[in-house]
Amino acid sequence: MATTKTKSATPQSPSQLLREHAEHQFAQELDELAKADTRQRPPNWKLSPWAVSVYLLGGTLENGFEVTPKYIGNRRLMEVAIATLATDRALLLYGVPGTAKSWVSEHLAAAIAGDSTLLIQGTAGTSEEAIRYGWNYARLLAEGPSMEALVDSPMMRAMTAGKIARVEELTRIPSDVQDTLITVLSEKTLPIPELNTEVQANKGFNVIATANNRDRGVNELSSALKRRFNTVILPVPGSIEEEVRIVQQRVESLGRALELPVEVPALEEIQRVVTIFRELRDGVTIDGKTKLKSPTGTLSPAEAISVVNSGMSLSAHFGDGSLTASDLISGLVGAVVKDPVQDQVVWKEYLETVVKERDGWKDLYRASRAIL
Amino acid sequence: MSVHIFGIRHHGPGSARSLCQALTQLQPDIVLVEGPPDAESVLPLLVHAEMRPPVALLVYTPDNPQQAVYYPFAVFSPEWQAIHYGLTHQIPVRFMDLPQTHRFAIAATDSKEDEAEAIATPGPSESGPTEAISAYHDPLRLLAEAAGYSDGERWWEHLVEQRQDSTELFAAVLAAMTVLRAEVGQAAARFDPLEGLREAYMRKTMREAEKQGFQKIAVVCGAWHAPALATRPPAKEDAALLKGLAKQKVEATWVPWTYGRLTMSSGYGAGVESPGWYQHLWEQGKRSERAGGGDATTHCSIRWMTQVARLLRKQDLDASSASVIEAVRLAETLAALRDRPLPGLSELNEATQTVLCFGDALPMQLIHQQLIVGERLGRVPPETPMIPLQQDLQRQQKRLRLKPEATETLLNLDLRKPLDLERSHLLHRLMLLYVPWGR
Repeated sequence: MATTKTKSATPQSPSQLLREHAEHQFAQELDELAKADTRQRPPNWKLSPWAVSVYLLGGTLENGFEVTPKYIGNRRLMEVAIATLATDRALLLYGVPGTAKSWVSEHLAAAIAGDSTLLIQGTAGTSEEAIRYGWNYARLLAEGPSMEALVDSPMMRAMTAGKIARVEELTRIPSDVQDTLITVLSEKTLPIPELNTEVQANKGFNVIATANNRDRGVNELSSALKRRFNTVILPVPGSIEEEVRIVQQRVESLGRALELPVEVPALEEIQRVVTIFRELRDGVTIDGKTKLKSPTGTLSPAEAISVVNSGMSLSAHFGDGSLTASDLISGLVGAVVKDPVQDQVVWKEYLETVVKERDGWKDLYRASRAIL
Repeated sequence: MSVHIFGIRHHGPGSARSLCQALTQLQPDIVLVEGPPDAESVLPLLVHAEMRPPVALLVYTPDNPQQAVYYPFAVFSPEWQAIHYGLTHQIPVRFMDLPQTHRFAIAATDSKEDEAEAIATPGPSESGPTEAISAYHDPLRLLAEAAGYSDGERWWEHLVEQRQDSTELFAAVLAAMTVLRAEVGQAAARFDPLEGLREAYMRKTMREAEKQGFQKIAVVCGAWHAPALATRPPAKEDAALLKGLAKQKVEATWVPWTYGRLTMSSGYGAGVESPGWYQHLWEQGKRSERAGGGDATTHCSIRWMTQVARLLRKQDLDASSASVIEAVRLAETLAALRDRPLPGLSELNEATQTVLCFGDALPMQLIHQQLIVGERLGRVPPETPMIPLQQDLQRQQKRLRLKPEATETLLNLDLRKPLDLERSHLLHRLMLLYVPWGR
């Protein structure tokens, strides 16, 4: 459907918002980086590529200011992504669900253009108007075609302002609508045939798209479109330490945002959840001795974060304030068992062969018996 | 009378090119190269028309042929280029390392003591030994990493571009190596207990050349040894070290070698990771010399990327020229992002994966095998000394038109035809000798 020009709604104080945009939440970091940044910036970029990589991967500036890492993983992948945007090629972030694709896309847009709100959400019902432009039909009928009767899309706004447009779930968009992007990406213009004009992109315009390859109903990109993107595949975390770090960091920041009155969960609990997820995902135990069946869902770090979060709120509101196995178990079962028939079998087998036998995991086993 | 020491990087095309330029400028009247003097008899075959690198010098004891040492050479090895220069300009070329007649004898007596040494624990610091290993095997790479490069060859190119004169470059390398050895020399000496003897023999060869009246002596050795040859202790000390060394009879010859084998450890220690890439750098250097300079660096990336695209197209994967352009741009931007003036192999690989392979890591394995390592097999001329069995095999191969190659191929033999039947016979006979050429 056509998107309306956003007028700022009733001004809300920042503390009322559930989740702020990245450029507001990390405004201080972006300011400090802009001040400390002496390298060359590509046209219309707020920071230089080096500063963007420090923002994403974390680091300490010369004046001692600490920049928190946003992406914990392979440093070189992020450098490739930033270099892609610097060469004004479009970036496609690909991977299984829950590997921080939308997260990275938002932070890249916030750091480079200072604005991560030029977002087109791709769904099976997305039409051309969401990507190109719509019409204000009342005006169109009254005055006939004119620029004032046009309703611009985020893509058009990004082109005129020289900012970054984000397209989420590119592969969910129907193929014929996907292909409207081809002209935009190669010629950097948006033709408006009805008015016999076009909108040309200003310097600094680029597109970041995300796609996942796991869902049903995924429309493969046509080769012409695929060729116009630089593809970066974001992997699941390579080592268990990395995954634990990711979950721990996000749980802490989310806990603060949701104002959960509970102490930060012990590292052992997080490690336990991450270990279970990794073993089920890989189909083999960490020591490599026992083979396991994998459930149908992807047990990504994002789900691990939400399991720990729901455990925390359960313990805060219904428990004694500290995270125990019984708080975690319902979220854990919910994340693993997505298909009621197959995954149930997988989960039961995992409980009996691994959880029951492991030292110190008896509390988890007992809690799971209480649920099933 | 002057002695010029050129500390090179083994199998480094940048070193080789700088060395060629320096030798042409210097016009020496003798070239001393780090290598086994036992092989000097087969050295003239290097300029034979049918000799094609990669090849290796094989030095072995005829009584016990399992005891053997290989010295591999590629076309881009500085030692190969130095010997080539010497032989084509008709000046004497000598090897100057500790002869294998002594080294085999020492190894035979030491083999019992080695077991006891191997159990001894290494030094106290954890990082010491690994740094010392890399310093000993590839000291120039350590310098490159200190300068922020992951690829030693690109660092050398960067240096070469800054200086017009190669002799300054080698002087700078010598200075850097002197400092490096002062710092890690003790720890590294553990990895080559013969290092003292080898360097003493190298100095002995240098002194002999001086005594024989040569005026401009060019010494080509691994960069690590350069400081030991620049400042020489008195001749008496070296003579004392080399006195009374045991001897064993050895023979030497040339054998064909492959780039795949070059990646493994060789007589010098650590192997070369990417011979195919080095071959490309060497050819690119030659091309830019012929063209008289110019923007060699971009051409290097462009040619490489084009080769990658052609390889992918042969495998029915899409790789258009537009993608090649984009990949080259991305590689150069990545290099700029990492504060390097030249894109190295890692930047080119990442650009290939992102643009040409759509993020997929699987085609990169193919590229690694066929382009980065490369599948190349050398050839030796028929005059090379070889055992009669080898000669007979070569004759049979020629007669049956079964050419030896570096790659595996599928051969369909129709046993009703006499030629294919004889081919099958040959392969089975080789299998009886435990030579599985056919499987």
